[in-house]
Amino acid sequence: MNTTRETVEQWIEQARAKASNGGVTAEDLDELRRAVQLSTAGLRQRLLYLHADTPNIKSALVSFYLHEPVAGDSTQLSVTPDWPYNTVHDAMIDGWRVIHFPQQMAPFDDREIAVLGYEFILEKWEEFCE
Amino acid sequence: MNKTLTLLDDDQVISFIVQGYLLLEPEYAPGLNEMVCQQLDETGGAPVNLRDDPHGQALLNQTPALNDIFGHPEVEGAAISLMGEGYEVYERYNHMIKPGGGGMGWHQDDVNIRHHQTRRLMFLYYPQDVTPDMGPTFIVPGTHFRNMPTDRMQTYGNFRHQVPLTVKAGTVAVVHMDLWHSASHNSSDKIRYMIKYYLDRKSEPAGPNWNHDPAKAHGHARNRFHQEHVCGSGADFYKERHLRWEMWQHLLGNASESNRVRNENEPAEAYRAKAFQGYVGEPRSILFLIKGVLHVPHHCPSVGTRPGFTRSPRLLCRA
Repeated sequence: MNTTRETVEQWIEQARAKASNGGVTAEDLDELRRAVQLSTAGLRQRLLYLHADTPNIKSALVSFYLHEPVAGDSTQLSVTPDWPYNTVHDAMIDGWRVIHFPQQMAPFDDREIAVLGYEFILEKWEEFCE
Repeated sequence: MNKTLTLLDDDQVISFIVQGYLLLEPEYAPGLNEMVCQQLDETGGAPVNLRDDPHGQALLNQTPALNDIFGHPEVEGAAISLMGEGYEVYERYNHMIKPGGGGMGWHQDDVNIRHHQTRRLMFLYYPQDVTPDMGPTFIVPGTHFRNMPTDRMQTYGNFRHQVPLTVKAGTVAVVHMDLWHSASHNSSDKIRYMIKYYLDRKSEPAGPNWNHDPAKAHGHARNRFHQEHVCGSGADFYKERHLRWEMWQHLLGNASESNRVRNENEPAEAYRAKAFQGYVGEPRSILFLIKGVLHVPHHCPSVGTRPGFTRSPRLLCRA
């Protein structure tokens, strides 16, 4: 099954060929709409929780937790975890979109320490076939 | 017959304060670990029954070899070093993970009334070699100073500084009550056993209970507290160093000033000068000491109690 991007690019190539031969028709546009609807129906939200040393997106990560939108998804602790990124910024470069930023106005205590790191939540919409 | 205990030394106590845990590898009598496993296999290990057996006596009855584990001079010596004479075994648990069982779930044990003194410890005993696939306990060193509701930890996954307790048979992990820890998935075909004892301190420290060398320990502690960065950001590290110092002072029996909160009317410099007396970890601290002598600190009002203890005034007065 093609991704949405592949479907649209394929359609554009066909439309380009048709442009020199009378142009696209209303039926072509309907076909494009059906193709896009069909391909986006399989999109699911991937979530990536990243905890960084500071609220700066380029600071080092202290923890990560990836949630895949598939039944039975389960993340386990690992003796040798495979770190996907070193910073939030690295994840953004790889196409992740930040949907939650750490709260700068969080309660502050000059003596106590509590939460470890600053939480960013990122999403990526991708097609999943089960 | 009196046995000679192997007490901790200053460096071990300092490591415990910095990391929140220590690993002991005592030399037991030959076959003792295997005997524990055999007794656990035969009985299945007593299930937790807090209503009828709140202290886990059944586990000890069914696995009497545990007496020789937790009575080993090195294990008992570590307990006395950190908890003082007359400590009490409060609870015993058999945490076994069957093949295919176990999974991630970061937490701190018990309720979220935290204090940075060693009032309760966990002793985790592993009778078998724990391999990476057997569901080792994971810990995050340094997190015993972080007061964090367990629910809020559930968005954490793997930590950069986590430590899997893949240990050899017979290891006892001495763990601060508040250290963040988690079980993990057992993908092997073996049961992983872990026996957990909670130990409670029964009296406040009047002095060091370990092999203490006052001539050397002070500077050594100060240097390690100041230099060793375990986890967290730079801003937290400044606070963490002071919390380490508080715990050290408490264990030395000098808790009167280090274990109190700043009164809202008390100048910060005066409070710091008293609370962190002797801790000159950075140039700013010297300034605090100089400024501090100009002010008279006020003490925190008395607070509620946990059985046998005064709660940390610092925590209760925070609001």
